[in-house]
Amino acid sequence: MKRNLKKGIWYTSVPGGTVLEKFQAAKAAGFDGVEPPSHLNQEEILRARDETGVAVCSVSCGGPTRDLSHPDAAKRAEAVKSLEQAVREAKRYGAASVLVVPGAVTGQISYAETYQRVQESVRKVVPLAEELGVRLAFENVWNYFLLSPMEAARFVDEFRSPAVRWQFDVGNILNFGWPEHWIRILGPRIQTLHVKEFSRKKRDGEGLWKGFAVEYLEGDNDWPAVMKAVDEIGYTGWATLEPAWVPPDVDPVARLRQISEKLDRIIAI
Amino acid sequence: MQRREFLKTGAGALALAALAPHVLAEAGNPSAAAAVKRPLKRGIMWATVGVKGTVLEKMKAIKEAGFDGVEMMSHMDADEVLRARDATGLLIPSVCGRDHWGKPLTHPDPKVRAEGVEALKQTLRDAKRYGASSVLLVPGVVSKEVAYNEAYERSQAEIRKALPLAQELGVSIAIENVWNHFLLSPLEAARYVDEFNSPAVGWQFDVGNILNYGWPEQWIRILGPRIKVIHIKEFSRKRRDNEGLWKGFEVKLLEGDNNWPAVMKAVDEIGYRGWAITEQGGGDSPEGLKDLVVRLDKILAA
Repeated sequence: MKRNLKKGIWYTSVPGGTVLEKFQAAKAAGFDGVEPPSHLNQEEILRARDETGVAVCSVSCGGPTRDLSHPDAAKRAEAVKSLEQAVREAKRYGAASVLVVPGAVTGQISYAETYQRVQESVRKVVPLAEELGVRLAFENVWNYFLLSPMEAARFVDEFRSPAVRWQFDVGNILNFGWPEHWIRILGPRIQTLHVKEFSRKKRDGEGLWKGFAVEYLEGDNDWPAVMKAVDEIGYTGWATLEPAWVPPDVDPVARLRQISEKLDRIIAI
Repeated sequence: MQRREFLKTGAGALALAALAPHVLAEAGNPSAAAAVKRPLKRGIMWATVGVKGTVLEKMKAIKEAGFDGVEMMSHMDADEVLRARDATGLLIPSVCGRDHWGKPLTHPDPKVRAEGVEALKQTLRDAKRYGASSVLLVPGVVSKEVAYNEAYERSQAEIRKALPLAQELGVSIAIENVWNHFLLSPLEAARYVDEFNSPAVGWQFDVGNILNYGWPEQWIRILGPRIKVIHIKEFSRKRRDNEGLWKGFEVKLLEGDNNWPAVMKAVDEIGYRGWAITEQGGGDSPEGLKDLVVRLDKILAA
């Protein structure tokens, strides 16, 4: 492995009944870290982390933060509260950042409203994030928002805070762009990487969402181009797997080892 | 991620299933139609007219179907076009560039970009001769070889070269949202136009091209007075999701996922009074053209 990237895995993709079992499974499969969602039992996470030596690479607040653009101010306040909680958890876990979904554009919530509301809501959390030294990392997801990499960079910069950055999901871009372009444009704003595959061929031939139903290294990501862009921006943080698809009839423990090996290949590509 | 996305799709599918019959019912209701008659003129894009024949024969079929005008292609025999226009009484509100996909203003080779600018200038001159007030421009194409920021910078620089001619001729350059992986945010699209600081640059808004990644009614409100011309096109998210991305376009007007009452409400709100031009399959026979007019009329009354 020639690149100085750490291997992470999204918590929900790890088999195991208890938190400790999940951390143990991640360790056994060769991962350096786990990305848990916020609002879990903190003591359990800390015990599992300390017993296994597996780090907490980031805390995902992806579910609650979808409401950062909600029309109801009370819902937005709840999302802000959840995000603050996630920031505190990240501090306790020793994680450098929190995954933030920048709201969602919908038929009822316009692009312009989302832009304004998410900025206004997240600004309320920035002081706490700065104080605790935890970064707020916006992720590109399929929420119909920040569809341009130039706009995404501007959106981050408008906070004028080192605590606001980006969590870049490689596979989520392929439907409408090229991840290697995004990586160069976002550059030093990228805090963490989510490693995901996507097939434009399956999207075109079988339906939009079928694009995700593809094995790592068998979709339309140009991984050498992606990793070249990663090198160019000098990124040396986490490469965290967020599998969007599980093949049928595979033992979950064996599968975890499989995708760990896929990640090794991607990092070494 | 997969779980989140699945939930969102589920909710979206429900909302759309609830919507479609309502749209059809309202569009088909004559009293509703009479209540909100809009003074928009009805056009069709030349490239979608599939009836056989000369320019004159095609224009006659367009006229007989009930359209008020036709959006021509650039680089045609201008005399022939003018004769057919005058013989049929059709208007030509807009001219679509011939070369903006083949010689994009964002091409890495400056020579190709220069050819693209020349083609744009020819399109402006054609528009002037035809009495069209704007030209349809695809501003460039983001691709694996051309990054988003490169496309942004190059296309603005090249379009600026045609601005003096556009201003001199009094013809606007209307940038269209197409599937070129570029200007995907309505806020960015508005900013892109405004950065020219020229009344000669505006937007040609294609309704159906948005549905894959947004909501046309939101775009219309955000672009507002920048919109010079509207393209009427349908799209089915359901077909996209179940059969493949491009299958989404294979649907008739009023049978896809456009919320036409919401679209027309936004059109009213911005005070748009220009052309509604169909860019839609089905125009390959006189009956097909008539069917497009019937559906367009329902949309304009939605």
